[in-house]
Amino acid sequence: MHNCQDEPLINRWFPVAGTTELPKRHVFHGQLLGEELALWRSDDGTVNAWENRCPHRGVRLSIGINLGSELKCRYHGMQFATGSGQCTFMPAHRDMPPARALCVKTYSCIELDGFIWVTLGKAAAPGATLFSTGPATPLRSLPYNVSALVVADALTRHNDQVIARVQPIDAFGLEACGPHPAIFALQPVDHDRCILHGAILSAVGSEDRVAILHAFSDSMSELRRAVESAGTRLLAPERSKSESAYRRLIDGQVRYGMAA
Amino acid sequence: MITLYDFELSGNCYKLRLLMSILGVQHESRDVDFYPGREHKADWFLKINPLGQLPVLIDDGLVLRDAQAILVYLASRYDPSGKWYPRDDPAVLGQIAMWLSFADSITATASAARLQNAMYFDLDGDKARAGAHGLFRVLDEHLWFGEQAGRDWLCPGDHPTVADIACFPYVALSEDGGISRQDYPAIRRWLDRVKRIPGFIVMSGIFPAAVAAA
Repeated sequence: MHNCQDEPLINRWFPVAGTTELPKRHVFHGQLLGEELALWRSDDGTVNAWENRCPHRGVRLSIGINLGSELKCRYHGMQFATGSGQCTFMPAHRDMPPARALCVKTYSCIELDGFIWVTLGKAAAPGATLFSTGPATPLRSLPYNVSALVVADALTRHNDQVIARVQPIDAFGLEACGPHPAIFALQPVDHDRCILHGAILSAVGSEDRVAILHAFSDSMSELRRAVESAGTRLLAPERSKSESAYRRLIDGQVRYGMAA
Repeated sequence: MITLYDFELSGNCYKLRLLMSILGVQHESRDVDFYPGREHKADWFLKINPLGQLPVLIDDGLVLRDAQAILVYLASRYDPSGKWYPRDDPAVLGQIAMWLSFADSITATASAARLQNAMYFDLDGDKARAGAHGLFRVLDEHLWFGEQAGRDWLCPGDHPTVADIACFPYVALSEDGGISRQDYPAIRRWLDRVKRIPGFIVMSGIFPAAVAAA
């Protein structure tokens, strides 16, 4: 994937979940650049990344019901088709074809290298990602109640205590050269929350696997305690508090300040 | 016949209704007006539970208070399979006790936030929410690593235990207290699994899961 640092954030592709985080008949609750997402896998394996809002009455679709090829809203039972997001059935008007305008807002998504990737813009799907270097073992993704900027800065500046020798790849990708080389990718949830995704750049033997995953999880949690205690409260704030800060973020005017 | 001193909106009462439904145990509920009536502090109820707390269960003359204790009793007495409270492995027994205690911590935080938010109790809601998020982080990590090891439930084994029933309600009701579960995807998947246990019943604020894929 070529995530050029000058590309506005809205046109970039970000990981939002590991592929195993979306089992069938489940709805995953995600968020990217302030936009809440309902992510779900249909029974044929297709992943959908939808605005987390029913077009009928606005209820969150992340509390909806994954029927296998439709997502059903919990509130009035409207069903929306995998792929298009088009309403296919209205229980209160079962003989009436649903209006074409009754359609969930959908986002482009792909499943690649162990992660689900989403863009809020119109950029073409990448053919490869940061993790496309060979067999990779995904780590547990960890949410942080601080901005991606703070986590990227902490990883590069204080990496000797946390994850050895982290090098920036671009504003959202980092490479760690410890005993188990790994790549990290940051997902900006909103202007003051992010999720750190990562993968070890090798296939790990089954006997060591859980121990290594635990070691990375412990390091990432240690980093989280450090950056969150430095002035950010633990409470996850509700959506974006400041519209102007959010606008600057999605317009790409806020640079994730890292020395290249 | 078992008598449950019950309040419809209480997660701690619901977990007993839930386990009795799963085990196919009949009971009759005696409604106590916890909110707004504060009947759990009335003289007549304090004679049954001097702590002034719901739930209380009476079975064959035995009077029990404390939801977690009652789960242990119901599973020990009414689950002939022994799977809901397995007692033959000390390591499993210790872990069940650990998560039953964790359920009490969830009550002290996530339930307190809900009481403050939805029933106007004079409690520190922000402190309760921060405490619940701290616990949910621990729970989510435990469940994620469980999935990696092929374990669906809180404790080892291929069957849920009273620990899952004890922790489930106030996690599933957390949004009533302003505690989003967006940051806890492994918890969200575990909630779906609990909701698919045969005999599962709902309460207000807890929805059923989608039917599992064939």
